[in-house]
Amino acid sequence: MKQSKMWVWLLVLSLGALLFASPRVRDVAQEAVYPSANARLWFERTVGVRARAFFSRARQGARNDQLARDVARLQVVEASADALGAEVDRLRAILDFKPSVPGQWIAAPVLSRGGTSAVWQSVRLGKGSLQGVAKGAPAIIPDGVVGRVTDVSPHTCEVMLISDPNSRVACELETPGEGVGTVRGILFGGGSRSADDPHLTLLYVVDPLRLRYLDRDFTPPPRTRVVTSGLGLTFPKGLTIGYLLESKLESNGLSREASVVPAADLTALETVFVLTGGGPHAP
Amino acid sequence: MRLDPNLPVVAACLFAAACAQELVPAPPQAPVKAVFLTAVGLYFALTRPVAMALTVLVWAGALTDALGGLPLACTLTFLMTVYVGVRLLQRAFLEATVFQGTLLVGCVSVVQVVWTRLWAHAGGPLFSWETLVRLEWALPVGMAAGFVGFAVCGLADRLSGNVRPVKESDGVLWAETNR
Repeated sequence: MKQSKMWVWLLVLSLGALLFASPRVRDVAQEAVYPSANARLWFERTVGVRARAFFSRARQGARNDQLARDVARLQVVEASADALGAEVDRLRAILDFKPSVPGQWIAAPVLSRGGTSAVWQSVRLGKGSLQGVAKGAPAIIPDGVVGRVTDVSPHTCEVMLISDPNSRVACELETPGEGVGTVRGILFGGGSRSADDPHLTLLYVVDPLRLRYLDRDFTPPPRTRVVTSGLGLTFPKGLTIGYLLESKLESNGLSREASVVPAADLTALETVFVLTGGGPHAP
Repeated sequence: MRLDPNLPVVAACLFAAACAQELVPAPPQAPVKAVFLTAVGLYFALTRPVAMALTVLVWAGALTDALGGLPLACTLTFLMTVYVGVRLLQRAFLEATVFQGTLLVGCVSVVQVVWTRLWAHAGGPLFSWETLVRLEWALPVGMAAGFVGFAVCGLADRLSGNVRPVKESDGVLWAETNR
């Protein structure tokens, strides 16, 4: 076959593959790059850690002492938690109540952030469908909610961060006050900073999230904790999302809108926990 | 059937660029990634015939979009548009040297940020202060990617034997006559 003709055929096949099997192409591309991303993680966690330890042995010793103390303290906490867990199980058995979040959380390393323009919108994790991760599964860190899984390949998954303008999370305010009742709203991703915002010094930071459709008659105090309400069927109830900064009436006057700072530091994610196996997101 | 010797070079360069683009983090001052795949695409656009160049550009664009979480036609259509411009410039002065490649990818990287912003725009103002900072950083980061991309692709071409030095029997280059 003439070689230029071969490239024409290759071009046609490439365009055909992109037209008719674009999700598959995306999966294959992510899986192809996965070993190199994983190798970098492995290198950082084995060679990098040892190299740093070599150069700062004294600091490591102090850190080890601190960790040993933390482990002892956590063992005490765990012992009391076991007792509390047993009591909760007993009370659930009495009430015939099933836990709201069956399944378990698996730790997934952050392989990379999104590409050319999607730096704040998504992260790629090193666990995929082979480890039980499913589309729609919530992703959290101990500080708070990170986002939810939007795309899964066998070894990786994409997580849309709560800072993505397309992100929507059903939320409520924690303990809004006596006689107020539950105050619920929908949390929108921050998106771009508005043009009239004078805070030009804030570069390369996550914009505050917008909590909309709150009760107009209740003015929530600043620093109120915002938690998931569990109504969106993606996130289980009670996960911390962020803290309220300020609120104002929406332009139509029917509801209140608040700005919320995320509890999780989305700029420094290293390990993220993903809910697997029959969480609230499961069909 | 004899395998085209360009095929392994193209595949290796695209794969290496995809890994590099995925692994090299954005600079801490601005969320701009080094566009290694664009650099590889432009190198082959300048050095290869149309069908091969377009195939490489299609895959460079598709990989950028697939790995960057963008719509799958975003960078692909951008690179196709750039290819037309590059071909026109190539008639006038543009060559696949490392120096010119560095400048070219730097400029294309800036336009790519604007293109991607227009394509993946979701709410809020189209252009903000953050976009300006990103544009400012796109030039040096793109130039770095262009330098690495053109240098590595040129090296791969020479090592694979796809590009051979001009033999004396082929005559003397005009550039050599003034020495």
